[in-house]
Amino acid sequence: MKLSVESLSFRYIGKKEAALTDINLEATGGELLFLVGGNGSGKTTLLSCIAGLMPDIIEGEISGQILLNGDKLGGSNKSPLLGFVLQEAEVYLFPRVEEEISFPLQNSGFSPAEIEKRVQEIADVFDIADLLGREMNTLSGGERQIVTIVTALIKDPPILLLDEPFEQLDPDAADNLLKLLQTIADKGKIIIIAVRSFDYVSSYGNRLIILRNGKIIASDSALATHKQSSLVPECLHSIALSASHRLKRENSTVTTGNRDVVCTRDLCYKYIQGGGIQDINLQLTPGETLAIMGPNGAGKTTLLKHFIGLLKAQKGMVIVMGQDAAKVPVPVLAQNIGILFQNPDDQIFNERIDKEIIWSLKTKRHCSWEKATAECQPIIENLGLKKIQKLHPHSVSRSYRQLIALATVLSSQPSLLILDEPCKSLDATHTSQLMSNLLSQSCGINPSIIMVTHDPYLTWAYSDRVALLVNGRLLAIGTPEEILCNQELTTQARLSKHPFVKFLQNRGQA
Amino acid sequence: MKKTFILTLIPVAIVINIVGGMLAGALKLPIFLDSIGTMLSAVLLGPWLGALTGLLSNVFQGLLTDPVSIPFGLVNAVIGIVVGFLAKSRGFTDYVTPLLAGLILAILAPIIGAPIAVYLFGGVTGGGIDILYAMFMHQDMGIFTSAFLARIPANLLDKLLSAYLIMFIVRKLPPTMQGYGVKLS
Amino acid sequence: MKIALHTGAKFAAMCLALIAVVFTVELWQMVFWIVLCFLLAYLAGVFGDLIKRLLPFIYIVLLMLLIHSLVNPQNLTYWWYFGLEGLEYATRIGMRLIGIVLLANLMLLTTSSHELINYIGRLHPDLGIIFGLMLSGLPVMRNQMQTTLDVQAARGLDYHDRLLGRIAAYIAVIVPVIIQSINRAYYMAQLLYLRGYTGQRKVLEERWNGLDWLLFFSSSLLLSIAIYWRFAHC
Repeated sequence: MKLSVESLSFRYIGKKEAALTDINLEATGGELLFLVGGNGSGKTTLLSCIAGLMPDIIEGEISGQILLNGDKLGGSNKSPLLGFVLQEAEVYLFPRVEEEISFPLQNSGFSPAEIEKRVQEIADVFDIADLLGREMNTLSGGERQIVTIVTALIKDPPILLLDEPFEQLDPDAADNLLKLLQTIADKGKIIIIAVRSFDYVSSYGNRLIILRNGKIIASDSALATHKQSSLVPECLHSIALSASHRLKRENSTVTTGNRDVVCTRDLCYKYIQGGGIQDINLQLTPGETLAIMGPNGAGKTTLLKHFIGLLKAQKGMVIVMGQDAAKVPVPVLAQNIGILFQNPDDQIFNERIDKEIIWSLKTKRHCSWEKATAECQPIIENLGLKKIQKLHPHSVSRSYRQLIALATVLSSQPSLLILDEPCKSLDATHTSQLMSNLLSQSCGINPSIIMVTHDPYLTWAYSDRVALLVNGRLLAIGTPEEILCNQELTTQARLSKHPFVKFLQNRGQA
Repeated sequence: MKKTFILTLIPVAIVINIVGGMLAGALKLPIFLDSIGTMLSAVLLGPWLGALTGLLSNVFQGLLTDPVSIPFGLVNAVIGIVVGFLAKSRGFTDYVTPLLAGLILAILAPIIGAPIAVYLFGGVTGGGIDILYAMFMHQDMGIFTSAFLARIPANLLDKLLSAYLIMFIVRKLPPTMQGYGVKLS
Repeated sequence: MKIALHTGAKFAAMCLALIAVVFTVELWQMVFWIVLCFLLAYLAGVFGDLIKRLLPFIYIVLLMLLIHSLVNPQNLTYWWYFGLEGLEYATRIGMRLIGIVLLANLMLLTTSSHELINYIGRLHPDLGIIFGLMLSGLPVMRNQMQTTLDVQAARGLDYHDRLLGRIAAYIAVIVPVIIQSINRAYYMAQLLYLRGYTGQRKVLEERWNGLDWLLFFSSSLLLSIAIYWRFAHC
């Protein structure tokens, strides 16, 4: 079996520049192929083209051809042959898992008995038989990812495409998924995985293709990763990144007062449906950066919500800057705290970038629009948003929207910054840009920072201490070296299989 | 617009109807705001698909919780038609169009809603409107006239506010999502 | 014992019974329908749920009785303050309302959402898709709304402000929700294509069994009785 893409170009409707230019690639059965590229490199566009979404579903101008065993894909042959797992793994069609998985079979006119048989079979293969009767919205991120992949595979397609499949997963789950994909590939399928970092590429995959600005700039065997990575700084491997810089704030150890910025005492919060946090005791000293790591569902977000009063402690206490967080209204507490959430689209609602930033300051300070406008000018300029400030936030890329969200956070000069997965879906260049902006802009006020992340590199490079949260309990707290180099702790926190953690631990032993 | 996208946009608009109403309740606003999605669908997809959205919204919500509300889908459909035609002819970002939409709907919605309400509920709603309804009937106005007149003030407030809210929402949407909302000059 | 009735049969029977209820004018006949509904609900094991759904309508019916007996313009004969003509009018409409509520909810309470999706899809594939997507989208967008409420509160937005402030807050929350859900619609359209939906789904015939036919014929019989009651004594 052979997939070949020949001089493929694509331009989105209403856009001047092409998203893809003259793409040529070939893949044969049994291959696990990585498509590596930064934000906006054209990975998703290329996968969507191969999947046949253009121009029927996504409008634009397409040229060139995509052949499977010499036959043209798409075109007159309407039924799609491929499995495609979208980057937006939280998007699904039906309420129940079983309905979701059987839908492609219903569309091909299988009989109910046959559908049931097929669904049972594939559920046994992927060990998800117990999920079939569940509701989609009760699944964890990892479970939903598997269901999506099973749905893509139910009609036994020769090719499986996955767009950023590791984004929702903790490092160990990502590693498990890669092993699974490898076994699927070994059965003779073509698997193409789009990623934005070299992190997993070196240990898996037969081949990689590097995309930048819609063009293939290199194509090689995966083993040559480190050589390739210098070509594409936006996709640098964490190991390579860690060699180049470690960007902690210089004055981060300076303590301006003895009082803790955040202090929790025996904090408990349980959800009725299970899960939550228990007996959390931690302190954050002024000027410190604390990273919180742990598997999906360990209670990281639950813990964060207590710092801003969105959840009230059921037992124990949370003191934030001398105030009991459970007793102060959220908007009042928010005046000295800035939170950067993982998805900027959850909050952006103004029709202009500058308005969004000014609104934030005005709302926090209850000052006049003019005063807020004047105060926001420096931050807009410093973050490089001046040129685009009159545009609609949704007409710029998502990494810019994350920068806008950062600007709204920094505009009020908070003394406590809370970052929830700040660099999710950002490539290495955008990550370091965001983090260095954050650190340089906030230097004057030197805020304390709490950062939730899955990314061990981010923790290693930017934090003073790491707290590990597992099953709602605080497992350990210490310097990044103490935590990340400890094999037992990282195994429990489902971090041990991350390439960067492996590297740190190997280096420690050597 | 592509058919599959229309097919996924209609259920989303129905859910916006529900969520919009829930949010109005959560913020303790004095209006229902339960046809935001229908209006939005009409602005994006035009009057007929807007009407379909409104109708299906009541039918499907009715199947889930309260089947008796299904006949009022006709009112919701008319909201879609009126907003859709207005958006198609004048856009939906100026200050006049929501005024027109609000005024037209304040009359049209009760014209269709009142007979259904009289047939099913004897004109009674279980809310504050009933006082007005009783007063009109006490003046010997006839059941239908009373039910119609009693509904106008609340509808005027609700539809005017909803229409202006939709205008502000359409203004804030990304250009690619504004549909007929922006008049091309 | 579990009785498996097909959704189509139940729906047809419900429609026939609804027509029967609408045709009925005599009060004792109405009572007969209502008792029958309760009996069926009891047999189907949904009696409690049915009562729960009925309660808000009981309140409306009581209000209706009060308003129409006091101020119905047709009131001529009075017993104390209450007009008998209005009382009769309200009783008739009230009974009919209760009948409709009972029948419709009886059908829905004995049908799972999964069966409903399938049945609606059989009427027209696109309708089934719309209903299914709505069911799956509702919890997602409710979560989205909660997330945005939280996020904007963390940015200092106050939901206990004056009325104008709350209306502004409504916009600040609903706009991100709308934008995200339109984006979601865009990706769902891609999924529909990727999963081979063309709108020409093969319609699977519903094979009625003996019970289905029994239900259908007994409801036809009830409708004939209702028509006989209505027209035989005129």
